[in-house]
Amino acid sequence: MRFKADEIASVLQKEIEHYESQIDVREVGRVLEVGDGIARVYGLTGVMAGEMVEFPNGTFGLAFNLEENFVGVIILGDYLQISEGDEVKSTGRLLSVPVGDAVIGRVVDPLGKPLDGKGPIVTSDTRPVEFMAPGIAQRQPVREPLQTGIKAIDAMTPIGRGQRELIIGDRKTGKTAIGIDAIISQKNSNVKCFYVAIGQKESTVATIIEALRKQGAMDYTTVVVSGAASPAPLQYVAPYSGTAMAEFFMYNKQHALIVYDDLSKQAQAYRQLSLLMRRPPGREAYPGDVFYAHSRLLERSAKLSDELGGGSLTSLPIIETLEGEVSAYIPTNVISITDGQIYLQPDLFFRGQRPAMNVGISVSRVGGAAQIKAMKKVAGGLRLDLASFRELEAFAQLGTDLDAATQSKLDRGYRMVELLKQGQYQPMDVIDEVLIIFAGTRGYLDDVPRTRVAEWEHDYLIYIRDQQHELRKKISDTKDLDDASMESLKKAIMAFKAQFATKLTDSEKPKADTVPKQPTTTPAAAKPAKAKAH
Amino acid sequence: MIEIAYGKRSFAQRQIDVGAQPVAAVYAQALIDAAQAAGKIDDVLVEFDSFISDVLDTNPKFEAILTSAQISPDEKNDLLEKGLGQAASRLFLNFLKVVSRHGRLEILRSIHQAAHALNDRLRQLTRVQVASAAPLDDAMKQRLTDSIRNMLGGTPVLETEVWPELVGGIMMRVGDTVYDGSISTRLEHIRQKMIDRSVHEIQSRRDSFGTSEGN
Repeated sequence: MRFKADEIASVLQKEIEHYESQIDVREVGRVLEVGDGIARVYGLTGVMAGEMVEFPNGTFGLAFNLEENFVGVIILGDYLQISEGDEVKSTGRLLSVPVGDAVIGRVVDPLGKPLDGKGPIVTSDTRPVEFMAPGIAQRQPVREPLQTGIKAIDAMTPIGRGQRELIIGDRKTGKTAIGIDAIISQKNSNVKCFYVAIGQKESTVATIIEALRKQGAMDYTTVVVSGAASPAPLQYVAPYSGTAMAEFFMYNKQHALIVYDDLSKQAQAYRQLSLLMRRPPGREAYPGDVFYAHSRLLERSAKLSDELGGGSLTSLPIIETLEGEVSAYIPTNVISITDGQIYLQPDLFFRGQRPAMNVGISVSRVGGAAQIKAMKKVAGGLRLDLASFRELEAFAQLGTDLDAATQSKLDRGYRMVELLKQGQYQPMDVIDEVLIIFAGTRGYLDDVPRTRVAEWEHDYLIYIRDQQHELRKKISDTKDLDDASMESLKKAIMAFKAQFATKLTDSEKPKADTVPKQPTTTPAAAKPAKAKAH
Repeated sequence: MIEIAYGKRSFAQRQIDVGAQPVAAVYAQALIDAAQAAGKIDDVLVEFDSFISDVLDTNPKFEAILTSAQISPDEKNDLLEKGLGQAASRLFLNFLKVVSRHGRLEILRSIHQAAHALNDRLRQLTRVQVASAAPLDDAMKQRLTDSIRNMLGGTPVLETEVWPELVGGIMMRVGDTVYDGSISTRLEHIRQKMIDRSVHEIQSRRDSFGTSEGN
């Protein structure tokens, strides 16, 4: 680009005219010591807690500790360039990040600087990184569903818009996969997504971004990255700045989803900072306010009242446990803050049940309010049934002789477990989920061999989509499963079953004596059987 | 008009021991109070200045002995008596002995700074560090003193220094506040504004630069 001589001249002219009157007034201090991402600064007498300060090389810091004789500053950037005696300027501003549509589809660091090489983020909209959560009057109860596209979650621990649902589990149990699938699933829902990667390997983050891009999810997603190599202050700030970006949409009558991956690493970064700043250590050496660090963050997720536009921010914090220890400090804290948790277990994961969700202890405290009517109808007793199946399963391993009722309950359970398995990056439409769970809970799969359940499911969805288009459209439009459509769905399933039976080999065909002719047992009808089994 | 050379007392080069400051302030207060009672504040401060610059700075070994923990307070007292007994005033020597008895000789420099700060407050002096690109003449200094007095009150004490890298104008520092009227800062601002403007220009007419990829 060429400079425009007259424009430049006018800028210079104006500057020169103002030269006499303008004096740059700033408050300064001096670096006493620096290292490990923090600095102690002498001076800065008027600096306020949380205020941004600037180092000579342009790096910013935050006034973290105000002490009698010096100010403790956390350095948001490269602290190796800062040396003792450097002048530190106070800026009179709070840390803020760019927000709005300009950040969508970008990969940024916790200060909102682009990391994806796609040029600067040009927007005049910014929001402070630390922001008070909306109060009681500004909120309303969570009522709209946020579809994660994962059968097990949407059916048993439904997540509503504005809810905080914790994803907790050991390493390598598929925690991130759930968050990513939930993001991919928002493709047509007009929910803006934010993925905050804290203290993760850069290679892992690159893989995730690539996966999001392949699935077309980067069109509505922002990734905030502070990798394992980032200084602790940046890892500590990352979730707050991600929330600031997401909040913008909530306060502008839109919906947003944010995944914090993961908050255990953030707590560790905060512990490091606090110990370096000589704040007293508490349990597990975490500082006393680590609970507040997480609670003030997660409280910012909300469903706003209609007067404020009814926007929402849903958050999916992730916590990594060690050896399934949920009673450690950070897991208990975050469990108590959130509105429910999805608990992932390694033994389920290695048994091939993915997502490896432990149904018994996973809950959603919002519950049915965050489900569409159709899902509420079909998935009503599913959680309890599955939990009682787990009990029976353990019991059945002991004895060999089982009465018919118990056996059929076990068969149903095995098929439901099979049915709830779902691959990564394959989120489903909620109507498909309803159709599948209907077939499973109503016992239409009881005579399908366990190994063929996945195939049955696949073919069944194609069949309904292609041959029962009207029915599917009706359910999809009303989001309800009324008696009429339930009847036609039953008929459709029977027709499909006849078609599928031709695919089965003889040995796989159901034996006449074990199968009820009309498998119409409803969960309600199955209850007495359960009582007998005990 | 009061003026002293910036030189060694430059803020940027002064040693700061934040841990020692609260303790140093107590000793400094005691010294100033005693000197005030005797009506000899200025004399004592001059003596203290000279002790720091003429005795400690020129005899590092003497300072090492004074601050060493291996030498007992009694020995240090003897040393002070013998070494300074003739030259020092009774008041200042007693002060040194008190500091020595409490094993605080290693914070003597901090006490020195604190004493000056206390004296400044007592006499309502405002220390102003002034840096300019070229040496200031007396008329200029007088103007500066007058305007600072109007602005901040008290009696300004100028500590001047020449920084050629400022290009022009002056930079003033009062306490922790810097008043920067230098050409170099101004140039930097203009440079930043031109960059901002160019970026804005590019972004606002991005379409003419082809692809809309980016954001």
